Amino acid sequence: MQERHDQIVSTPSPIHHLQLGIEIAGTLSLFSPIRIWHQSTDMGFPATTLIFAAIGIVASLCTVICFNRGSSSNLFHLTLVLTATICCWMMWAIVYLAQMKPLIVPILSEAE
Amino acid sequence: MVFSEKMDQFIDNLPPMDLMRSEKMTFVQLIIPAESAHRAISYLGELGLLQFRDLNAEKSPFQRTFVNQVKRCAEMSRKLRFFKDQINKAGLISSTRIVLQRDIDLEDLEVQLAEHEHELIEMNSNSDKLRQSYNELLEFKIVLQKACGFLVSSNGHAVSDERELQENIYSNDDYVETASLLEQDMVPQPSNPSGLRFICGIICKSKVLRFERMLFRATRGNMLFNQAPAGEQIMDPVSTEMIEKTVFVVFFSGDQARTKILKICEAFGANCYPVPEDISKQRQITREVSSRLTDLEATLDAGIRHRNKALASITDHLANWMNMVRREKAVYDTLNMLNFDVTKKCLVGEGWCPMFAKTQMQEALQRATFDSNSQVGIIFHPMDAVESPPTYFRTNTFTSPYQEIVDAYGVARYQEANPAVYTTVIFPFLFALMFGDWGHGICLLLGALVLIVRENKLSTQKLGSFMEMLFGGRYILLMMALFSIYCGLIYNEFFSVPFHIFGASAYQCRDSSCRDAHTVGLIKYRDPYPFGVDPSWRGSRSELSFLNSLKMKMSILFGVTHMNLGILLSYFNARFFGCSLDIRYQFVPQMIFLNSLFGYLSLLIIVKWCTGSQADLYHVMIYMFLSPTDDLGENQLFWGQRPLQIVLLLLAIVAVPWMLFPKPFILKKRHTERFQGRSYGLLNTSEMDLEVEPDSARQHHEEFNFSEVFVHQMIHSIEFILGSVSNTASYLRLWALSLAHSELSTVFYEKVLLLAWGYDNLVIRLVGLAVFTFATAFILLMMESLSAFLHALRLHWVEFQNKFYHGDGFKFKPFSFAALTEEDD
Repeated sequence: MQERHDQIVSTPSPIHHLQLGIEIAGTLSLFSPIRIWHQSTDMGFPATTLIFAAIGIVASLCTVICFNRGSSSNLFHLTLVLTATICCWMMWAIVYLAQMKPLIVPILSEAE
Repeated sequence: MVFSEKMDQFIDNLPPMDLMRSEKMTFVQLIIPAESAHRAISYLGELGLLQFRDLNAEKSPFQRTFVNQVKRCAEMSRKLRFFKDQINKAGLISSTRIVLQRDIDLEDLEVQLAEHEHELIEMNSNSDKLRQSYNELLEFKIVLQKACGFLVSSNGHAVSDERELQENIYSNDDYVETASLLEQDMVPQPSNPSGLRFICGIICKSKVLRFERMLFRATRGNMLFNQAPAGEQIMDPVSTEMIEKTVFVVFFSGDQARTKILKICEAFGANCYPVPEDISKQRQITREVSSRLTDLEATLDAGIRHRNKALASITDHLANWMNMVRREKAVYDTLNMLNFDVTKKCLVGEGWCPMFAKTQMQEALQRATFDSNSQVGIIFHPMDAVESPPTYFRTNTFTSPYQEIVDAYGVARYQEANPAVYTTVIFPFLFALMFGDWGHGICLLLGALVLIVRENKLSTQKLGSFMEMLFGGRYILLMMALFSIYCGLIYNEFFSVPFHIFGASAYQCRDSSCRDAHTVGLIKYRDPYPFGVDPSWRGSRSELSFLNSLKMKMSILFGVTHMNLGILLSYFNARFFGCSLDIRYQFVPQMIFLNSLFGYLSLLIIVKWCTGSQADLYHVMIYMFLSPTDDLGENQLFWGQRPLQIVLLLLAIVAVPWMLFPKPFILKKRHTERFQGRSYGLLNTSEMDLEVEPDSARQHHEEFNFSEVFVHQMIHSIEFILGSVSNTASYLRLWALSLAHSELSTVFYEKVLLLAWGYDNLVIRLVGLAVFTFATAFILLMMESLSAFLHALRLHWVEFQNKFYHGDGFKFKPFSFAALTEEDD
């Protein structure tokens, strides 16, 4: 994958000009198929989701074991832990998904 | 169908969740024999779980049975407050230990308090008198000192014969001794009208000028006025304040001038003192005055010591007494709420108590019967009540501040779903979405930990109102801090500086020379940054367009989820109260409406992110409404989008009349069925709609106002439909505040700290650091915290709770000694 990437970067002028032209025109649609090809084996999302689920289960078990004060109390604590896990996972997932196939890229400012 | 039945079974088999619904309450009636009444109420007060209903509400305070006892308690607490004042004035420290002693009888206490008060008042008046004499003597001494100077110099002008009568005029009658000394030497010659006389005195410095002018005018200029400042502040005997005074001497001649001057002195509040002209007499008088002063000082000191001893003996018991009197007054106030029954031997009381406390109460009442040696037991039995019970949540230190902020908007109706269960986590989370910066989060965490570690010490102190609020919310602060750290890690901001904690950035230059980096930007060459926002975005020119898009979509996603949770809670409420009408004609159309429009929008957002499509979601949504059957063209995100959009649009349109019309008509049909003789068996059915008042169906069953019900339903539906758009947009404040926070943070970092650090000068660097610290602490940590707190709270109170919460209950306020505070005095 790295070689193919280098090929694209250091290709001779015609394709480079073509790329430039397309970018100046403002659409990146020619890039997307290539990038989809690159990242089609992205395992980051399901893996980290499983990590979040595992943390959630472990936290629930700890809460039930350490603060065991009856079934109604346990249910309440489980609700809290579950809500927290879901909120945290959602936030991570949203930020991750938003960066998977971005439509814009960072353009460095002059000072750097 | 089997699945839904299984779900129903599963939900029914779950144990009730702790804080979800308020405690079951029961209405009880107490019949207490008169001799054990006081004791029974005291024990119930210690238990603190019964809310008495005032059976004598229409009587004025003076018509109630135990009005005398209440008056006596009020009198005693007045005396105790007087003691407290005296102790504070004397500067003694009062101990706040409260030792419970039950063997002090109230009548004994009354007598003791009266004695102490009498003693204190006497001591105070004595010392006041002594102090007044002391001050006068002090003034006299100063007048003597200063006036001697004048008289010596004026003697040269005056008649030289020392033994000639110089009438010394004085207006104080107390100085008999000094007068006698003078009079012995005074040759009783008739007053010499043409001789020069003088009056010495002392007056407030502020009045001197007017005094002089008035004297000048009154005597037509025939006077000589000399003054000298007293040099030190003196306590004025009349007003007991320390003020600056001036000693004056007025030389005049003639009797009329004398009377006039005396009157003017009186009017201006100047104190005149007799000063002899003779130098030896002056010295003698000065010595006498000094010795009297020292005597008085000694007497005053002894008096103060004696009083302080008396006060110290009171101080030890004061807290205890105040507590006792407060409790007694509370017990008598409660006894006033009970009614005497026909035989006048028993008191009848009614109140609400939680079901779980019934055995405890019965046990307490048995103890009261036993302790008061009564022959008759206390009767305690449940009754049916017409009104709706109060709401009681058993919270602990962690959940009670959350319950308070939910109650601040409205106390939950009896046994409806409590939003506090979800507020406990979602409120700090929404705060953190707006505050996301893990540097600031660490500061908040330190503050919260300080408050929690010093919990025990701070809870006994008296804190200011702001600190008290902060201390009460310390666990909320802790949760907010933890979530802020998490969100800060995701936004990748540490005082607005990004870090590469989770690996290298996913972006790099297009080629090794990086010359395109400033024009067309970097490219993404690997998987997205594993946790959070990529650090390359910070400082780039396209940062804001990316982050704004991300945060806006995130706000919409969280908003739609939060609102769905609210509607789901309304389903659980309807299920609990057995209201299938609400489920079929309110919950289902609401879910359909919200999700077919905004749930679909959330789906589009996720699909766009996953496929990287360039379709503009604004256009997709707008054309879905404007021309749903047209070809989608560049708005196409996935296969089958057009038919799906048409279906969803139709569902949304169908949902509107579904939530608007059926319910009122069905209610009307049920009402006619029930109350026009067709069937008697439906009276206690649980399928009663709760929109109508809970008790009205039983009492006013003739009144079913169809137009009212219909209009109510219409308002509810329109509120929901219009609200779905406005509430979803309201969640965009999550984006707005997070942007503001991030921008402020950036400005302070770049324009203050980095700018100051750029210079080599140490002073400039320190100044820059100081400005950065103050700006971060006050603007970012305090102001932004409050702002984010407020907006997260508003999102809960309005957008979340208006989906399911009624909030028209009233809080359970039991009669409890623990709840008595000093403000009740």
